[in-house]
Amino acid sequence: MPSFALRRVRRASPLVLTLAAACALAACGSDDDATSTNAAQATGTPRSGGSLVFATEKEPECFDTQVSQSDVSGVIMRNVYESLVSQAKDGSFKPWLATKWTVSPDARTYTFDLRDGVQFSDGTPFDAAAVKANLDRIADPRTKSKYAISLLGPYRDSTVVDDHTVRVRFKTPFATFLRNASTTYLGFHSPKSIEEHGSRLCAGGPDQVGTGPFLLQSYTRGQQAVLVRNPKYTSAPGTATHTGPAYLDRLTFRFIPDPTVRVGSVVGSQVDAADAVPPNQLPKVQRDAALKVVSTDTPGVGYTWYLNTTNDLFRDRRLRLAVQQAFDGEAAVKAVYFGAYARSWSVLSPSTLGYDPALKGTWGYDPAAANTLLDEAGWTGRDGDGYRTKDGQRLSTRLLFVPEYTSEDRAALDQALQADLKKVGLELKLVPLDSAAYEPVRNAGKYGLIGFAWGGGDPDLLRVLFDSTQLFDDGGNNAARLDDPQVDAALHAGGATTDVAKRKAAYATVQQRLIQEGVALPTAVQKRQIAVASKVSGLTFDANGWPLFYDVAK
Amino acid sequence: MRPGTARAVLLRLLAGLGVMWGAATLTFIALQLVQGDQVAGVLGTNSLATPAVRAQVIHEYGFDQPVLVQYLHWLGRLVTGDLGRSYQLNTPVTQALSGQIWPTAQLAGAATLIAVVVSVVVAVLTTGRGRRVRSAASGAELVAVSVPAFWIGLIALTYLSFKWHLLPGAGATGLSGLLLPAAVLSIPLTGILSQVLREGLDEALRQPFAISVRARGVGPTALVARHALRHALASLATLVGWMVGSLFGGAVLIETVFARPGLGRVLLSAVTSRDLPVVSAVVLLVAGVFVVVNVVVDLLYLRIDPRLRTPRSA
Repeated sequence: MPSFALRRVRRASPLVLTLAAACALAACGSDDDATSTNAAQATGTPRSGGSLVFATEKEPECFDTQVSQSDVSGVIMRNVYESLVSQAKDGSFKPWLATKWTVSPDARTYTFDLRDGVQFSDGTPFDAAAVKANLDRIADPRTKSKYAISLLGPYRDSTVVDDHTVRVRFKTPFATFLRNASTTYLGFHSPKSIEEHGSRLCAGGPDQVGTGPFLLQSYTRGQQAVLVRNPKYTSAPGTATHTGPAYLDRLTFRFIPDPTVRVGSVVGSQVDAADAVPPNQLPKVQRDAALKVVSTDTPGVGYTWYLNTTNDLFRDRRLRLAVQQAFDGEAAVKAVYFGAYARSWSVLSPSTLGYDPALKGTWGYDPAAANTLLDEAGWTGRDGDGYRTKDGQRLSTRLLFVPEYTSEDRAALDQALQADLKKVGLELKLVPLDSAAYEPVRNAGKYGLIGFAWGGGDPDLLRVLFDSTQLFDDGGNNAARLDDPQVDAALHAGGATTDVAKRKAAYATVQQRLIQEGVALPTAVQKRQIAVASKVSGLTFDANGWPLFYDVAK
Repeated sequence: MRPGTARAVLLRLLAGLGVMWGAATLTFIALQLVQGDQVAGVLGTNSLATPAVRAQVIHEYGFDQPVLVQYLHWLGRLVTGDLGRSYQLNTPVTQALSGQIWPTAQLAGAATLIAVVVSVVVAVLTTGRGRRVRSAASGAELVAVSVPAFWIGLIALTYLSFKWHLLPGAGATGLSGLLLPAAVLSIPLTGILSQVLREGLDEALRQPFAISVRARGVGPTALVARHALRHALASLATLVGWMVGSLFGGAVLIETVFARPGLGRVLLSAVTSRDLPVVSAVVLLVAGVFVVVNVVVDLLYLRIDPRLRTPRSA
């Protein structure tokens, strides 16, 4: 069920037309690995060796990231499959398997200069032919790519210019390709492994061959995936803090779905780190001196309610704003997340490129104003239950949800909204539907509100959520059923340019308009919180808010 | 084996085949009822796959063929032992399940062993005793049956493993890793078994033969253990089918809590991701186990109760 899963869309917009990122970065020349490691040790920092057990909530259903769409596959295989470029948290691009790149002015042709001397762990050289083989594989419908193919957009073809130069062409301008190319999903398999194991690359195991700092040694379904260090690794990304082989000898991902058990395992020192610590378990971790919490705001859109602008009630802006003003977001977020999460002021979380900080404090809880708006809209009567009426009709609307996809915290936020709206005389019915029944009702727009989160590091994700051509029936996720020329124009402006300042301005317009029009009501800034043994260092996050292990030491 | 017995076994196996066919057909119907979601099952919900990929999936999996043709194809493949390909794992279902059967069998086997040993001991010790012993025992049994196993599992893990480090925790392998989950899984089973056993024992002790045995000078415990137990076992055997179900249902929760590999966990993730070939394969597998277990139980009756061994025609 689309809208409920914490989603990943990172179909992104272009960013910097990074022309020729220079080799100034450590990652780029061929370095003497031993020296850099020793240098690091001399300064008393990371030690090489040791093993780390990382407990995850989810388990990959498929390890072939060119096919899979799951986040956890991406997190694990990031250590095996590498990309052309890497994206820093500020949105800029750094060299990785490509040392420099050029983008044609019409954003249809990308030319990459590939790094010299990189080999896949099976000895196959990484070259222009390998890039072409991988991209062609993703674009081939027989690969049945669930996600990577969408990152290739209007892919036309790849040309091997010479061994170390590849040209990728698109049928129409495709300004988001650099960002897409930085994701694990467009990471590279050894062409030999594609040839020999092609359709079986989902299975997880030593057949998964990339250029990365770790090798996938074994996978036991329902239990764990074990990765070991690639001793010959030379292709660290420009965003990493060291070069040469990884520090850890061994990196184990253990799949522990139950949060109590996962957190208990790290408290009991049976694993070194536990992902996705729920807010209610946080105090247990914070009390423990042997543990620390490493966290990052999840980029993208946190749990947000979308008000159906084609609905009888919410086509009236005053009613939308009344909902916005009646909701005591501060109190609700504090109660539901035990004070661990901040309240959101924009649909975008602060860690997303283009987040507009100017919205902070510009709107919020004002029940008196909400009551005035509802009076103005003519809902002046009251019925026996205290709800407002107009012409004998109760002021009532529905929020649809699918219980199996609605986590406890989100259900609690829905109930908080329901209680707040009741105080201003608006009845909110929380309507549970099973996933099969939900979709047709949702697609037909028969609701007042629905809520969901949408992950991703680039503001272009707002296009799927608010562009007038992205209704559910169009395959998009425009849950507010918004048709606003200003928003459309700003979304297109933001997606068409690679100029960061222009993009920020465009997406600021979108964010402000969404709040001013009361179209979307954001709740909390979600976090990814990882409980980590104190002796573990170097755990950081990428632009998507995913944990990175290459620089981790123990 | 006598010809009568052989015939009985054969008939039961044939009936078992009927059950399997029924299970297969029901699964297929269930599969059809969510047809709209079949492509989503392959591609994942909320997939951003292109129309070309969708078309490829529809063609490759034959979703565009008439339902009857799909059904016959599917039955034909099942007969040849081909369970299809997992939508999510993109591997043959047999391969996806093969590594998971043994861990679940281990867990279920160990839990059964613990449950049988504990319940026999408890029942033998508490049968024919005073009211207090008996009500204490049935009270304990009631608690064992009623408390959710996953909750006991969480408590046991928290204290025995995370706090006191007595036993390995989640994701552990080997015999020591098996002990805790098997013990937790056996708890509701033990509760039911010892209840039924004690009732059977009490019933047996009320029979006239009990007095004759006692008259021969046999002690009360020996009477229960050597003579009455055999009578009680017959009522226990009827429960075996229920036990299989309970063990498998429990395994879904226990495997998730203890982060163990196994069929229960595979089933859970297959249901949530709508990986229908895997779901139907697990359904068939469990149906198969039921059939086999029931045939074995019927044969066991003959061993336990000599009165049943007389041929029906006689």
